[in-house]
Amino acid sequence: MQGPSKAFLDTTIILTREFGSKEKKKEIEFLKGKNNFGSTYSITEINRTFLRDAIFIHSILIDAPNLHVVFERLQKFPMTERRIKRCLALLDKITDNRQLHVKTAIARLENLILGANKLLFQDISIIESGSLCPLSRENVEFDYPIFKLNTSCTKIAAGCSLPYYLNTHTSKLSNLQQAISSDSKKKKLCVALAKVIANPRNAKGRCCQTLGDVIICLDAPNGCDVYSLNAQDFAVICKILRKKFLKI
Amino acid sequence: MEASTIPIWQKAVKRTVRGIIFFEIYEDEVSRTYDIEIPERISSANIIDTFQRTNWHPLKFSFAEDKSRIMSDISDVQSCFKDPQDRQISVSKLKSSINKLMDKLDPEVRVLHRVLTMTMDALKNTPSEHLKRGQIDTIKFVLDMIDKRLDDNEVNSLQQILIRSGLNPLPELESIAELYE
Repeated sequence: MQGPSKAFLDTTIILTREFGSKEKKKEIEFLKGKNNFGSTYSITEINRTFLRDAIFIHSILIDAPNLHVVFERLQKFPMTERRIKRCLALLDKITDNRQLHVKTAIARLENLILGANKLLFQDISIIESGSLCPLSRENVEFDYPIFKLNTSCTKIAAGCSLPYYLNTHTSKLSNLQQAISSDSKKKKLCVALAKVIANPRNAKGRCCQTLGDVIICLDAPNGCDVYSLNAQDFAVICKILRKKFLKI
Repeated sequence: MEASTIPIWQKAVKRTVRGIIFFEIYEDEVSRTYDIEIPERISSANIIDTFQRTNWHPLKFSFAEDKSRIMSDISDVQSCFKDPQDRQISVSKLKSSINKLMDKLDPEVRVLHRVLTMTMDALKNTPSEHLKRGQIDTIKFVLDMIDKRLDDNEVNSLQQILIRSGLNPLPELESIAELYE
């Protein structure tokens, strides 16, 4: 008898399973019956976005006398508008729309920071990414009252094998670059691919972030259907990299 | 017999607190009768200290009492589990007792806040009608562990136990994922 089919989940699906809207969660509910896989590269992505935001908010919260001060400070914080929006939304959720005491908000945030990865990756078999990204092995450290999580790529970290990994797929990456070269929405990805094709060592650092979807797609094992909520990018990437992408 | 000649132990007032009998000596009575300086060891705080071994905590409130109320509430949830309406009412009572304890706790007992908050979030994220018997047993186990000596590592393990039972002990972050696409 054939067992449940294998599903390879990208970072958007992994986050949405727990932290998505009701509608999106319903859309991906069918994945519960599958054998789910994920890449360690998704841990890197969650660490440098979601967890980094949570740790940042925590650092502001422990200094603040009340929630009003925290919101005021966040609104004017020198960072991108997108990031401010994300942090404010996260803080709204943590504080039940600014209803809670600071002490309760801090406790909830601590639980979130220390437990998010456990919750997000439950029932997912994690496959080591071909990039062997050392940042995916970084754990949150709690040096009371401050959390620490290394999310910065130094480009010289021992263990990163991204250049070698991409080098073995140069022809596929060239095909991908050609396929998206006329798409203005994928210009950033196209430029990153060109840099890597010219010299795989260029992949380290910011370029690695831009190539996140490509790396995750390459990590998908044969025989797994790839699922992502970012169909616009994944459809073309999977097609060129010869992975089976199933649109939700 | 003149007042001044009555031995102190005869003047002591017999008190019973939680089944423990002790004799309370009023400090002013002692000083008036014997004109002595009251040593710290017989101040009321120290009388309470004497009974620490009997689970009497010299706190601003009785932590043991609040914990015992919570444990009683969760036993109620277990005993009326079959009836969804009764279960809802008893879960609601349990949440209220947890909230009351959280309100009383000082921010310094941060780790205790973590346990109580994660239990509250687990109960909020799974409505009573969807709770399973095993999940209630898990919550009971976690709440039974609350103690001022808990550390973060132990709390992380309790969190893991809740997650493994299928509960979500983290804040509900509906629609947050869309901001990270």
